[in-house]
Amino acid sequence: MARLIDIQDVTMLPAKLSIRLGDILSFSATGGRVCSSSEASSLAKADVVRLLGAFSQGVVGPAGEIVSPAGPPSSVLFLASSVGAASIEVMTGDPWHHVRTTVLDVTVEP
Amino acid sequence: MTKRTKTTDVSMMVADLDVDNTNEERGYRESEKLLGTEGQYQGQPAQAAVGCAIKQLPARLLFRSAEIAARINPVNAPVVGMSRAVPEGVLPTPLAAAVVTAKYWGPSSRKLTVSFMDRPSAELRRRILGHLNAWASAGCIEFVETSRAGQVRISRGGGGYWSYLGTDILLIPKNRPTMNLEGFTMNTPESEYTRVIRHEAGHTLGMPHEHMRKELVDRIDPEKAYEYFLRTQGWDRQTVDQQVLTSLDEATLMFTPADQDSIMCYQLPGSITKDGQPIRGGIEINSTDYAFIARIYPKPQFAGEKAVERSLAYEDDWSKDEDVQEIDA
Repeated sequence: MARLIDIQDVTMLPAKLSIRLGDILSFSATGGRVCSSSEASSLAKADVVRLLGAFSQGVVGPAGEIVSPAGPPSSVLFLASSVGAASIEVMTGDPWHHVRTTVLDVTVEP
Repeated sequence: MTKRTKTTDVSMMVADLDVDNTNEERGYRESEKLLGTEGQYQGQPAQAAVGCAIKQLPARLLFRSAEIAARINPVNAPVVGMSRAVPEGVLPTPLAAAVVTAKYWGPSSRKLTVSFMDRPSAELRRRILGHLNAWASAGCIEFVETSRAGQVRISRGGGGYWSYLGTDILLIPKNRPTMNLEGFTMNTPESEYTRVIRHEAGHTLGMPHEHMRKELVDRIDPEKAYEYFLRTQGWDRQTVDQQVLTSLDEATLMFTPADQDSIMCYQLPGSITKDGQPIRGGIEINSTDYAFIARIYPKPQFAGEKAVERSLAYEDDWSKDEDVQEIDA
């Protein structure tokens, strides 16, 4: 079964991050991007890890309305979409003032 | 395997920051003077302190008077607050519905209870509370700590700085935060407490982002903004549209003229504006902010009174034929 992996503080991660195909990485972060990725079999550039997007959280109110906080996105999701290696950047902090960018090398296993 | 973290100080990209703290302090003192001193009439019966009786319009004209007041100055629009506090059948018009969406708490004195999702030290809690209450010097809302789950629930986990807007905080499940202050500790510089916590408190009081006011959004070059935020945040165009390029619907706002030095305005660099000048962004509650909060959350004029009670006023009346039909406003 694929896993939803919640990462509160990307700067505290161990040096090596190995996940499985289908896993989703959910960072508490304001932004992110995939820098490079290559499939294990061919070394061809591919979407080994795919950025699903940057999201604000939301709750459902009593009348069914969706309520979100004011502020930048607070979660960034990546999907492990094929076996291989990828390098990703995760942005935390304040997008308007102090941006902290953390680069991670991620290995996706079968 | 490598993990590299670098920090970019975006504020250093904002050139020509021209914030005159002396003016800010002077402006605030002027606001204080404008507001008067709370408790001035403490201990005196309200009616005794009132020099003259205040007259009310006939009941049939009250709604029309509110409409006209709002047309003249939107800040005059009646503040309704939570929809559940409004009796059924009282919101038949677009005007009233628009006011409800504004999420302001209403003009009566109010204490919002505050709790913390983790267990920060008493010193840190006091420091945060002190900055939340910076607004209370001008308005009638204050933040008070509670040992139970507060209406305002603060976390310090990842995900940046954010707060739900105004009365929306009452919709958030009690086990979830309504405000996030990522990584705030006693080692965080005082300038960040001032800039960030007062900004987030403004959201809790119902104030949206000032940089999303149309006048400021119109200064931004969309293509430059898309490129900038893709490079610095990895945001797609839709996210940039939502965060930076979509102006607020001013019809739903009570507002003063757009103010790039408001504490509610983020810094945006000159590299994304059409004229090359940055949107400076506020680093402290300024005189306009204080004056605005004093207007929407007016302090009681008399101790123990919510303001002018309708019961204390005398309703005037005349025949319906004499009502003024055309208002030149």
